[in-house]
Amino acid sequence: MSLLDRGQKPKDGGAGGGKSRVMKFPLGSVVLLIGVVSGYATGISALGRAGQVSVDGKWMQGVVNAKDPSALYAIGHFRQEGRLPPNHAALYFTRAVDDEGNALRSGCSYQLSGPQPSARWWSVSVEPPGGFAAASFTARDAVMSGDDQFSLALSKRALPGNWLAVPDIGSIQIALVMNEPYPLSKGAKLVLPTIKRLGCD
Amino acid sequence: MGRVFWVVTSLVLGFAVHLATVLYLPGLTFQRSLARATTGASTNHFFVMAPERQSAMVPTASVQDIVGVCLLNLSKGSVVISAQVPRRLWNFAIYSASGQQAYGINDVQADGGSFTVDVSKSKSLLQQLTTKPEAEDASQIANVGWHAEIAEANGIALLWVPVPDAWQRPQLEKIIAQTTCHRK
Repeated sequence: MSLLDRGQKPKDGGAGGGKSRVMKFPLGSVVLLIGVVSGYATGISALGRAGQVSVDGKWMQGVVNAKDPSALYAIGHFRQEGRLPPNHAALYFTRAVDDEGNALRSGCSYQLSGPQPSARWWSVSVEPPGGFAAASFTARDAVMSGDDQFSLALSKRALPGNWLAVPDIGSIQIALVMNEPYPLSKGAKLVLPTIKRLGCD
Repeated sequence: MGRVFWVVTSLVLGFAVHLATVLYLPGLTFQRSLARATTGASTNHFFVMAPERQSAMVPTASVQDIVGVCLLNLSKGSVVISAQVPRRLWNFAIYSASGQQAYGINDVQADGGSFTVDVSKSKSLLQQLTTKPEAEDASQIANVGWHAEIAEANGIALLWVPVPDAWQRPQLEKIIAQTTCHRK
């Protein structure tokens, strides 16, 4: 079956004066192709969005809830990146924009600051989007200010205080992992660090 | 009538492709990544991963941490993991081949420098109906510590240990490398 079979027969005597040459598109093939492409596109799109919950509009938390019917998509999200889903004993956050909403880049310097991560062990990593940790700063490296506040400079160039050397990889995202987090006190809300841009090359 | 047929066919095909994409594509990508991260490793054998490879597979691990892995193959029976761990923070998890975390234990729960986990494949519904009741099987279970079941014949056991100081890494790796993973 073709589009031409639906009552549109070619007429002789086109612009060239000879027989017109009309390309035939089999309707069945076109429809099936649309089905395949849209099925693939919606699958990839669903995997890309799944497994992530916005915490404050900027930080995204990687979450897999086995009891959730959409867990299949959430697990698929991480496996699609070639990784295992985050361990249940850890909180995994990622962020790809600074406080002004600009995409994070390795050519810029940033100041990450906020309350000291409330966990038995934590790490801050720089990674390419969808990639893996290129550089990490862990609880062992941190010097605290004494008021439960934490500040970390992320830059290619050495900066005073806590500093994470950012490799030159273009677009970056920052991952904050809190292993074995301490329970929050009643009514308290998890506060994640801010990321302020200091400047760019 | 013809148009309706093609529209319905397109929808059904689209749904089938969507499901295939969601069910199989992540698995293929992950298997490729796992093969790269564990090059040359045999199943039911515990080893400590190279730091640059571990963060590629375990999102919550940094390059400073130590990650030990055993690729589980339960097709020929259960596997016993006897873990040697330092007396400090660590975490042990078992994932099924499809990425579901089936088991997790940490230093506080284990309360010691070593622990043992017997991992087996859970029985299917048909097997549960056709085999002996659990009470009769219970006498045959060795007292090895904890027991974990995963729904598939393959899985991954991960031991994660953060390193408090770089100079302690060789010492911690030496302890963790004593962990064994073998068929029962």
